[in-house]
Amino acid sequence: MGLLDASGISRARRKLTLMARTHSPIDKVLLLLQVCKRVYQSLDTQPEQEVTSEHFLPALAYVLVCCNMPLLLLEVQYMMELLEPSWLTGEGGYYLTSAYASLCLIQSRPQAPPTGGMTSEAQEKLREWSRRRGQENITHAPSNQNQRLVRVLYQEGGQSVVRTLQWVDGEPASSLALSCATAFAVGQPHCYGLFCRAAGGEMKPLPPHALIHEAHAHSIGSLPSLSYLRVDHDTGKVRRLTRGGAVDLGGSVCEE
Amino acid sequence: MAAGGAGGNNKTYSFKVVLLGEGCVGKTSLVLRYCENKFNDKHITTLQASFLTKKLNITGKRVNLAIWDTAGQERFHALGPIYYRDSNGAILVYDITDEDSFQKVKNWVKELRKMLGNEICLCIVGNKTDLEKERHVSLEEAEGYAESVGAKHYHSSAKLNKGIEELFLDLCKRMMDMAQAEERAKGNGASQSGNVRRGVQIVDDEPQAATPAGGCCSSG
Repeated sequence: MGLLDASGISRARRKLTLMARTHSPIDKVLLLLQVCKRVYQSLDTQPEQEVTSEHFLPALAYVLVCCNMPLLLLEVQYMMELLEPSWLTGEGGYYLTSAYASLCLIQSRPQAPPTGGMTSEAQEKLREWSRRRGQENITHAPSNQNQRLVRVLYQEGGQSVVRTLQWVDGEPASSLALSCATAFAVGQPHCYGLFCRAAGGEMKPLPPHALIHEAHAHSIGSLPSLSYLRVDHDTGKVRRLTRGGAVDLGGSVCEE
Repeated sequence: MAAGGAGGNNKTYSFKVVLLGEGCVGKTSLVLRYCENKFNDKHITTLQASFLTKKLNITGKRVNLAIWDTAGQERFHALGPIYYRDSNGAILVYDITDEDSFQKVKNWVKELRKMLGNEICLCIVGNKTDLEKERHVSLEEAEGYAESVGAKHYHSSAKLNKGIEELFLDLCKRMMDMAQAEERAKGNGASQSGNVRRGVQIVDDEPQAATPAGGCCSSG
């Protein structure tokens, strides 16, 4: 079984650096998945040998050590906090968990008995996290049905802000756009519009007459999310990180 | 929809199942066999090696299974809670020719019951029945043990593709029953959308065992 070579490591490092620069937890987790795929590919050298999590976990830990990014744990925690529960139980969640487990492994003492491997501090944090996110899910879940809320991301230059806004049944996108203009204190509202992320991952403008609840179908997770962007923004740029529903993890596109 | 599934009639149940067991008992082969019907074949060209999904339709209800494989070596044991938290089911695999792997399953059972209580459906699976002649774990002992801890016992051979389909189907039915019982226990008020996420229940000093949230009447 192989491990990533020097060029593979620097590639992984570039992806993780890019991950640190993006804001969206979804984009971050997709980049993490690309790194994990590379690790798998490097392991899969002998046709007759099955690559399992047995091999993957230490290999990932090795790559993370080589990448030497002290703030990686923070990144992982960022995703654990902000990803929708549906993402946390999916493939992204699995590999996020593996990254977290690898970081625990790295932090554990080499000769620690089997009970080690996870510092008590990490255990406590995990507990707390589980409790908090679990609670949040219970308290938020009912509101999805009764309250009309939408999460709107506003990006301008290097700055991005997320606001949760309320809307009423039958309200068209144009009137929500007006609320956005106020919420984000935009000077020229006519230059901005609402966008939603389609199933394929790319950003699509929401027609002014479109109804908000129809845009739900395109949302990810429990709370619908839209973006409030300049109409002339570079959609290509937003697309780059999340292409295709199944996500092509080959990802040379993500190199910058 | 988060773990825990959903009530209603047309909703989809989503369950998280964690695979536990020692290194070479064949748990990965088992799940690959189930999800892709492949055995020891070169196929892992994508990320589909440790995290697998399966869609089922059981008595007209849709079920999405997310199967989380774990690293089974002893030195990774402590990482278990990171993987099994919020699981609806656990498949604990041992090798029928390896007494020690059965002992490891017992350790996992103890830990899961302590951390997650009765909210998790446990399956104990004796794999490699194609090596029956070299059996070192007696059937009576294994079945007796499973019953004593409220788990179900199964036999499988990933190599011959035996017992696997049944095992997963049975597990799904049990998880559905549990999810339905949970919903009933909570009452079917409008505020209930069914996706109760269960955190790892931490028992600090006293193993005060499970709060019976998945049980019958008195929870809630």
